[in-house]
Amino acid sequence: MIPPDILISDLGALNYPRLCELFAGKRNRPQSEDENKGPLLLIFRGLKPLYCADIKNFEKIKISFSGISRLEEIAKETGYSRIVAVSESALERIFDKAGGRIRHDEDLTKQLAVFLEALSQEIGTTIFFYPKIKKSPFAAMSFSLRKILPKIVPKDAIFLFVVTENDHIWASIAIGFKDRQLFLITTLDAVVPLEDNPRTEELDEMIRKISERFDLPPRYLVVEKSAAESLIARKFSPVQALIFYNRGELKVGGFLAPSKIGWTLLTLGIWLLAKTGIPFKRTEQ
Amino acid sequence: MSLSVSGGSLLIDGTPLSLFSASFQYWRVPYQTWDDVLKKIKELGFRVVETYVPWSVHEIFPGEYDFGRIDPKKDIRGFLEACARENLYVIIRPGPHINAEITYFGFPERLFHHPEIFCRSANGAPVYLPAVPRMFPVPCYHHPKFLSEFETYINNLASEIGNLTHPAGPIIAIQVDNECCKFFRAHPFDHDYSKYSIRLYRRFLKEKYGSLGLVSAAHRKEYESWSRIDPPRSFQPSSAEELPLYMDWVEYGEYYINESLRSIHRIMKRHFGEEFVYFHNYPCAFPSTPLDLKGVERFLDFESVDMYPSKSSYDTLKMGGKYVSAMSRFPHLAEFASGNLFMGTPLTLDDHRFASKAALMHGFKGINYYMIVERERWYGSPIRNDGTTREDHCKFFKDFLAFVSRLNVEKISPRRDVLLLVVREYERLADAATLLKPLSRMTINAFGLEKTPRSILISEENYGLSEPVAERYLRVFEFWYKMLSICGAHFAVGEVSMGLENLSKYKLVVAPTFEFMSGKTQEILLEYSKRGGALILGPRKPSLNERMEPVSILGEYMRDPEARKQRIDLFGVEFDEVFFFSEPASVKTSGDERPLSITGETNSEAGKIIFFGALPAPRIDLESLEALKPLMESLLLRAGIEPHNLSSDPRLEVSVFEDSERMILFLANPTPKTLTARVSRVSSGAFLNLETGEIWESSGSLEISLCPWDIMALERVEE
Repeated sequence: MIPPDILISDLGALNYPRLCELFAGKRNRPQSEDENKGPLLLIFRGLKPLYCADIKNFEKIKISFSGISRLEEIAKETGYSRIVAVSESALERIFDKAGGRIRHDEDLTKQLAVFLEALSQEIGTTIFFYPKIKKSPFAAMSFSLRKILPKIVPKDAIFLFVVTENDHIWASIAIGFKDRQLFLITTLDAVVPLEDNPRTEELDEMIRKISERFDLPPRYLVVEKSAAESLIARKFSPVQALIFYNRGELKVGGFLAPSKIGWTLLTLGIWLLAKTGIPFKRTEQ
Repeated sequence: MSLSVSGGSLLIDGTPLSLFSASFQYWRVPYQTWDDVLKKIKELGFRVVETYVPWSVHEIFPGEYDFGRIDPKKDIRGFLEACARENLYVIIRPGPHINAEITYFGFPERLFHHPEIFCRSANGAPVYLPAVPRMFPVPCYHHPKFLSEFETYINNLASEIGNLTHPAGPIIAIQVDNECCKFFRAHPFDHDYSKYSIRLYRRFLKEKYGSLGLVSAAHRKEYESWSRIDPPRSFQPSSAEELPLYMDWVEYGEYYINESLRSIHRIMKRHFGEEFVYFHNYPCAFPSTPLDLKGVERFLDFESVDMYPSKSSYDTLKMGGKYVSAMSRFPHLAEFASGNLFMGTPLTLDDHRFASKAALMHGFKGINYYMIVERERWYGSPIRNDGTTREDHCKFFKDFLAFVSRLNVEKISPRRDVLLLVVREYERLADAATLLKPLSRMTINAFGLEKTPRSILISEENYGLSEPVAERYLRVFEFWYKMLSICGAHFAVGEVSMGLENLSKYKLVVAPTFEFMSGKTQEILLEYSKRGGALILGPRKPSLNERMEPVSILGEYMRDPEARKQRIDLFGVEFDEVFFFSEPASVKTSGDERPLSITGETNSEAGKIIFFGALPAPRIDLESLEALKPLMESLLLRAGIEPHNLSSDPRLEVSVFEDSERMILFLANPTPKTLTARVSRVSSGAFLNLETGEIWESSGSLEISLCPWDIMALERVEE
C-alpha cells in the first residue's frame, strides 16, 4: 500500500505548520484538573512495583502494590481512573516477537500489523489495563491494517484538503494514490507557493494543474478556516459539517455526492434525529 | 597545505575556518540547477557545503556503482567540481548509515537478505529499527561481511573523488558514519548479542583486565576460558558485588559504538588517506552514556552533535552546549534544523532564529544547517528544490552569518569558573536501571522529550547498594544544575575524561558522590583539589570503587557529619535528608542549641573539599531554589569565585565570552513573555549591540528589556 519510494515533496514552508496549528487548536484550550491527570503508569516485576508515575506529568506516585488483580484498589487509593500496568519485560517481548516475524521488504502497514499483533498478545499477559480492556482492539487494528485497509485504498486519485481564509488559500495537503498505492504526499505548493498568497479564485486552476502534473483525477474538500476550527472543536459533528456545506463554507468536488437539495434534506434529517436525543454532538454533552 | 582541528577551530593551512555550512543533497535536486543553487548558497554567506554520499543511491548492483555515468543527478564528481568553481569547501558524509529520510537509511536493500549480519537482541531476535517508510533489521558493524561490503563502496567512491580532497579539491572533512548509537536502541541490555559482538565483548574484557583471573575476580565467577564468558542478558543483580559483571556489559556498549566508528574510520583512512579531518556526530545534544565523546576523540578529530530545537528546547540546547563545548575539541552541530523533516514537529523561522543564537551563546562554534536546499521528504528550507528562494528565510541566514562574522566566533570562548561533573559510573547505572527496554535514556533525549525529568523510567531499586543510587544521582545532578543556573554562575558540564589539565581550568568542581565511585575518578578529583581547586562533593562519602572493593580516596578528605535530619525544609526547599557539620554556621536550623553548618570543609594541600551532604526531594521547582541563592553565592566565594553578572529576574540568562582583547555579554529571554531585568556586576562603559549597532551605557549594571524568545549580544567597546 505504501511503496518504499513514496514521493513526499513540495510541502512548502507553511502548510504543515499551519495544519498542525489548526488541529492542535482544540488541545490548547484550558483543561480541567481531571484532564490534566494520568493515566497512571505502573511498571512491575512480579509483586514488586518498580516505577509508578502519572504518564502525562511524569510525576511519581507512591502506591502499595499487591498484584495486578488489585488495580482497582490502586485506582481508589490514588484517585486515578485509568491505570496501565506493564511488566518490565513487556516491550522487550513485543519487539522480540515482532523482530522474529517482520520482513524488511513488506509494506509498512503490514509491518505495523505485526507489531500490533505482538502487542495484542501481551494484553492480559504482561500488559494490564484498569478498567480492563480486551485484546480485541489491537487484534482488530492489526486485522484492519492487513486485510481491510488494502481493499479500500482508492485506485487512482489525488485527494486534496484545502483550508481557505478571507479569499486566500491558507493551507493545503494532497495525497495521491496510483494502482492502489499511496505513492504521493504533497501540497498545492507543487503548483503555486503558498508564500505567493494565492487567492481562492485561483483554486480551481490550481487543482486542475496538480491533477495534470500527477496525471490523477482530483477529489477535494475545501473548508474555510473558521469553519474548520469550529468542526475540530466539535469533534467533526456531522450536523455542523452539513450546515457549513449549505453555507458554502465547506465544499467538496470530484466525489460521488448527493445534490445540494439532497444534502439539505440529509442535514434536516440528521438535525431532527439529533433533536430526538441521538448523540451526534458528543462534545456538547 | 594542511587540515587540522586545534584550539576549538578547524584550521585550513593554519587559518581558522568559520565552519557554518549548508546541507545540499545533490542527488535529490535537478542537476541542471546545481550551479544556480550553489551561487545562492554562497550569496547567503556560506563558505562550506555539506552532503551525504549514500551507498544505496550509488550502488546499482553488488560491487557496481553509478557516479553519474548512467544517471546525471548521481554525478558526485560533477557536483564537487561545481562547488570548487564557486570556491565552496565541502564536507562529505558517506555513511554507511546516513538516515537522510531515505528508505533503509542508505544501506543497500540486498544487505537485509543476509540474516547473519543482523544485530541480535538478548533473546536472539533480529533487532528491527521502526522507521518509515520501511522498518529494517540493523546490521552489526563488527561483522566482517558488512565491513568488506562497505569497503568495496568506499574504495570505488575514493577512486571517483579521492583526488578532490584539499588542497587539490574542495573536500575538507569526512564524517564517519552518522549518529552511531546502536540505531537508537541504546538500552544496554537490548542488543547486540550477535556472535561477532560477543567476541568483541571478550576482547574488551581482555583489554580491560588483562587476565582471565582478574575478570573472574571482578565478576565473582569462575570462568574456565575466554570463550566461556557470556554477557548478562538482563539487569538483575542480587548484591552490590554482582554489579561489576553488569556494569562491564554497560561499559562495553560504549566500546561497541567506539569500535564501530574505529572500523569505519580505518576503512575511510585506507582509501581517502590519513591526513584529513574525520569526525562523527551523535544524535542528541547531551551525549552521555552509551556515547563516549572523549573516547571517540582519541581517534577522530572531533565529535559533533545533532539537534532540531524549537524555541522551547532552550534548556536542552543550553545543557548540550555546556557539555559539548567543555568536552569536545571542536564544539560543532553537525545537523541543526533549517526547515523540517516531513513527519517531525514543525519548526518555524522564529525557532531557527532563537535556537541559532542560543547555540552560540552556550559555546557551539560551528553549525551545519540541515537542510539549506529543500528536497524530497523535507520542507521549509531557504532554497527550494527548483532553485527559487524563500526571501524571509534567506534574509535570516544572511543576517545571522554576518552576525557570526562580527562575533568572530572562532576566536572567543565562554568564561566559565565552575564545572558540574557528569559521573559516568552513575550514568551507566542509570542506563542499566532504565525500565521498559528497548527504550533508553538516550532515545528519550534524542527525541526531544526534554520536559521530562531526567529520572524518567529509572527503577528505584537498590541493586544491592544501600539506596537507589541511579535515581538519586540524577536528582542531585538536576539540583546542582538548577542551583548553578539560578545563581547566574558561569558553569560548564563535563566529565573527568577531559583530563586533569582541562579540569584544572575550573576554580570549582561540583561532583555528586555516592557510596561507590571508580578509583580513577576519585584519584583525579583529589589531585584536582590538591592542585588548588575547590571540590563540592556529596551527598554521600564514596567508600567503594567500581569493583565494589573498599576504596575511600575522597572519603578520607570528607568530614564526618555531626547530625542527620530527614524530611527537612531549608528556606522553603524540601530535602529528603541533610547532614550537619559542627563548624561556624552558614545555615542554622531552628531549635538547635549549637550552630551547625550544612557544609563540612577540609583542606587538601592547595585546595579544599566541601562535603554538602544534602539529598534534595524528588521534585524541586526553580522558584523555590531562589531561596538558596545566598548559600550558593557563599560556596562560590569559598572557591574564590567573585559573584557573577546577576540578573534581577533569574529567567533572563547571562553568558560571558572574553579573551585578552574582547568581552561579549549574551543575554537571553527563553520565555514567551517580555522580560525586563537589571543585570548587575557588569563592567562600566559602553556596549555595542552586535546585531543592531545600538550603543548601551553601563554604570555597573544594565537595564535590559528583551522580547519573548530573544537573545542579545553586547560587546564592550572603547568609549
